[in-house]
Amino acid sequence: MTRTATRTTPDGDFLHVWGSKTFGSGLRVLDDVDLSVPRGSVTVLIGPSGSGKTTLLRAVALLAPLDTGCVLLDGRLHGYREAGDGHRVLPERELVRARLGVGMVFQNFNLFPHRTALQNVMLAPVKTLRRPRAEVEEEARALLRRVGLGDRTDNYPAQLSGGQQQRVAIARALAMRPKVMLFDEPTSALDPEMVHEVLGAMKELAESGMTMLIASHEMGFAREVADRVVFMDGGRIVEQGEPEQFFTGTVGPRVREFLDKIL
Amino acid sequence: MNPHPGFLGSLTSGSLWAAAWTTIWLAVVAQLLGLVIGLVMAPLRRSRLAPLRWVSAAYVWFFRGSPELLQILAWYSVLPLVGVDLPVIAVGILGLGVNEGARMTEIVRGALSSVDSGQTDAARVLGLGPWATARWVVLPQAARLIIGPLGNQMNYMFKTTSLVAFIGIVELLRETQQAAQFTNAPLAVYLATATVYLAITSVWGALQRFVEQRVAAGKAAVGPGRVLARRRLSGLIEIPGAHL
Ligand SMILES: Nc1ncnc2c1ncn2[C@@H]1O[C@H](COP(=O)(O)OP(=O)(O)OP(=O)(O)O)[C@@H](O)[C@H]1O
Ligand SMILES: [Mg+2]
Repeated sequence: MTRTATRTTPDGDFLHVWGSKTFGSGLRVLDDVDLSVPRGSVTVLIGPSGSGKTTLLRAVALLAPLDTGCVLLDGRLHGYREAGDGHRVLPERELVRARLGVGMVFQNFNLFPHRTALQNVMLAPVKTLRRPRAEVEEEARALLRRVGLGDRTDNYPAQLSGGQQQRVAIARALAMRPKVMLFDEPTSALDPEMVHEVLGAMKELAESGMTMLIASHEMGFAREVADRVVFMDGGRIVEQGEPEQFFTGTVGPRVREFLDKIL
Repeated sequence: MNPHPGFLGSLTSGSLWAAAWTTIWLAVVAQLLGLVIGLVMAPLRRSRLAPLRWVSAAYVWFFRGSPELLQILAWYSVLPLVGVDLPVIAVGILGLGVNEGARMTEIVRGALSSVDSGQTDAARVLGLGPWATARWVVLPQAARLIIGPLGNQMNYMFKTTSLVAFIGIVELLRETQQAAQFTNAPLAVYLATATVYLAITSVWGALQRFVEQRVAAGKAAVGPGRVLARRRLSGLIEIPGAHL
């Protein structure tokens, strides 16, 4: 059996990413990471600045693929093919299709400023999935209602608060019906009073059964919603466990030190 | 020909207005050619293939770095030598447009690179390919940044067309030279021509202001000035908590 198959177990590994990544000058930004996220679970990634959280999420989203290793999604290679005894990332042309299984929400929202909230949500389903416009519009309106923005469909991003923009971004990602949702510090660009509305939308999404991988230092949210917390440092996964572990102190000194700083 | 046409006589001469028309359409066509070249060459500069980047860089380097008149004369004399026989007006358009393309390439390039990379990240994660990303995400945002400079380039182009007088195209300058040769009062002829140029650029300027105001009006609601617009709007928008 290949390495791939042995690493794919039926319920433990809905999303599995493992491997390394080096940037230009030999800086090892992901150093033999190995992370699996069970179906329908919520994993929160924490760790100091520069520890590789964004890089890991961008690897899973196939925006900046791994050098070695691969991503498995729902039992299949995601954006990679087998090559010899390892894996190789697919050429960009094929990655375009492959990316569809994963949705991502960014720190800076990255809404399209020239399109209304509704148009932001509709763009990709209409242009890349080529689904009928009327059907997509109905679904997009429902998604915006779901994140509490049913009355904001015709506003441009500049007319929305940060919290509202981020909720549009969540609706936009959901419109592609992803199997996994990634969040890269979704609330860290927000004024404090808007954080809860975004976390609220994420909590609702988690309760609906979405598989989620979230880089965030919102430990209250992690405690309430997450199934696992993963601590990264220097491109490595240093510790992982249930959220309670991270609060009750049964963690190593590096994690302790980090938690003392952010809590 | 009347040796003393005077200012008004010159200004109402049919051949002057025929030449003015030549200047106008020549400038518009050459500017469009420049825009098209810019829209092709600027993305090449960001291609993943190094030779394509070199082609674009070399093009800009050469055509921006040598005198435009020299380029026009060169097209005029070299094209027939390599067996390409174009009407002289086409040579003029080519000379002006290819030169303008180098400047437009730089303008388009600047506009493209000022679109945040987060925009392309978001588009790619949503499954948009390179063309769809350019068409629906990057170009609409870059277009707003291109419109202003494009308007200024058009203004320059109305005057730069005078260079094709040197290859015998009868546009405003050439027509004026010919008229001035047969008069004892060339100043009146020159003043009439200057008036026509001013009329053209003034009408263009009014058009430009109109378009820019419309773009700016859109930008207040849409554009990258997000923080400013947000500040202005923050007093107006109530923030409903998450209805979840
Ligand atoms: N495109 C790149 N080229 C070179 N180095 C990079 C690049 N992107 C990230 N890095 C480096 O990789 C390391 C990890 O960065 P990453 O953004 O993944 O960290 P992070 O955990 O998300 O940090 P933060 O909490 O600040 O967002 C950093 O040292 C960073 O400087
Ligand atoms: Mg980060």
